[in-house]
Amino acid sequence: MIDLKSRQSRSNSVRLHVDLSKIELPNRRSFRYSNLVILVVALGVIWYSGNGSRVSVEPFFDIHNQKQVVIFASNLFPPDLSPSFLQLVWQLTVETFQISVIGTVLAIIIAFPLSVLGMRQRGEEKSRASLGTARWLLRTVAYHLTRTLFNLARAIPELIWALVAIIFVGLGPFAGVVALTIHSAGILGKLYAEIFEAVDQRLVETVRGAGANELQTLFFARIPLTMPVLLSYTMFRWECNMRAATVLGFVAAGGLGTQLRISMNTYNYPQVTTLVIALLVLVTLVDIAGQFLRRRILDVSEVTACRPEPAELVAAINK
Amino acid sequence: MAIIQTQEVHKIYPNGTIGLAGLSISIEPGEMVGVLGSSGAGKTTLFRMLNGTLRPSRGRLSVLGQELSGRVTPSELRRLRSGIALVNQNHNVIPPLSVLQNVLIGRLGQTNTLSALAGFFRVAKTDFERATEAIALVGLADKLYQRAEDLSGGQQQRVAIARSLMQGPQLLLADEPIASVDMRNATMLLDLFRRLNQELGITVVMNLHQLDFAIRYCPRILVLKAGRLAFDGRPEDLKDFDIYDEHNSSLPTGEKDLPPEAALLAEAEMGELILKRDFSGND
Repeated sequence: MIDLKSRQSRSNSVRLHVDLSKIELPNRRSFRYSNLVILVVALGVIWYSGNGSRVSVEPFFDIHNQKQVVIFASNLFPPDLSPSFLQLVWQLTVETFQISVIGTVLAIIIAFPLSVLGMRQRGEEKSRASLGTARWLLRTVAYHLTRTLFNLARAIPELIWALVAIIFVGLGPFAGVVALTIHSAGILGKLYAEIFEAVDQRLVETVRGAGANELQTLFFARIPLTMPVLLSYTMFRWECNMRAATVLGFVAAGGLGTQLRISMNTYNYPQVTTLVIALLVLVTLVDIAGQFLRRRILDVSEVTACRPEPAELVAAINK
Repeated sequence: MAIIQTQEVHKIYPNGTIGLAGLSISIEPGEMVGVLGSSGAGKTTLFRMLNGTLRPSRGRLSVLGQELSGRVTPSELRRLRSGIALVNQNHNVIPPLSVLQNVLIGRLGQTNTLSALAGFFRVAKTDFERATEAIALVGLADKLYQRAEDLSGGQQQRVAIARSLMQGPQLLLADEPIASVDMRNATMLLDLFRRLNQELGITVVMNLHQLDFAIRYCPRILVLKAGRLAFDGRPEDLKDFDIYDEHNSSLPTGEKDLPPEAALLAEAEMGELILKRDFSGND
């Protein structure tokens, strides 16, 4: 018997001797200098970025600054809890919630079908030789067009989209909804597409092998296999939208932000505190809702068929 | 007309690995064929080519009358695949879907996407009956609504067979169906394949590692070696033929799917390596 208790005894008990001189081992993958270059460039960019943003610890130790912070903090308390203001905050909180919900839902509705076009399809049957040039070209153009659309929607911040939206729909919450929808559609579209791409190709082939078309493969393989991941990214986007909906208020696109700006401009810090607390409550609620939904899906099984999320996904949602 | 026809088919993978090196075979409707050969001989490459997942690098290939060598539109491919049932060693089911849903996948080739989606909420009566029959036939009626991932590997394979029955295929391709199944289940599985072949006239092509099973079940046996056809005939004639001689592992992919120890042992059996037990513990 092989004793697995300790490494020592394992190596002692049974050992197969192999004459390595008689085996031809493959060459070790040679060191790639290009990787070294990438590392050096990355370090350079990090240093350059810190330098350019004037990152330093000094201001934190400046006694004058510390005093200012104390004054600022003491101004924040106690929060303004007068009934009339609380009522206003309640209304605005509900409005922020509504903007974020409808903005996220509309973004999903737009992002989902587009993600199918923006998904790189694997398999030799999707090659140019197999599909024929015309079909392949159409698919490739659609792919790049969709990706560009996603990039455009993502690259322009919600705030700018809100300014554009205000021109079309006027001041108010709807402008905020439009802004959130466009920006989030760009982010969710990219995420969905990349999540769908990352599904185990063999399982995709199993469903294709039964004669399923690509759309059927999406619904019978890609989506069920990635449901927990899809859900958690979507919930995370909703949470982001909650915060974004607040900021959008700064340009009078509705929600808590409008009031936050007024309170800050009038140096009414107790009101600011109340508003921040309201925001905190909102985000926590989304978190709880997300946990609840995820548990309902995951409890039945602990299996996630999706690979660990690629680094680009994390980068895309953190931006 | 032959149901499967290959002429000098080559497959060279993008990384340079050779899968097939000029394979010519012809299989008639209603045959039950066993494909033998060591790992890396090209068996899986052939199987994945037969349903259009891989394309030949050279040579001609037609399955169920569909030419697969050149351009194939998605709808042609879909039609072809609707007629081919797949049963593999692994990757047989979509884990989070129920057994019923997995079996209904077998209908996708003949269903439009919208009604297939409606099936998530309400399965059409005829589809439901047919699927339940197929599931009952493979002995999984009590697992109808269970998630496929909660089933054992052998049960998942049976789900794939039920899915095949749902498809109503002309051709059944089984890639190492009994590789991870115990003796009793292997016999049951192959008995079922034989019934499908004899009673329903489905052409069965299966890829086996077990010589005895192949001899018992397949009236015709093909042996692949280094991506070429090395033997084609009745199992009786196989007796004098050495399937696993040393030339078999000459392809670069040779031991890829064997675990390292097994590969070493396989090599050792060929007398290329000396293995001995060492109790000293010193290097």
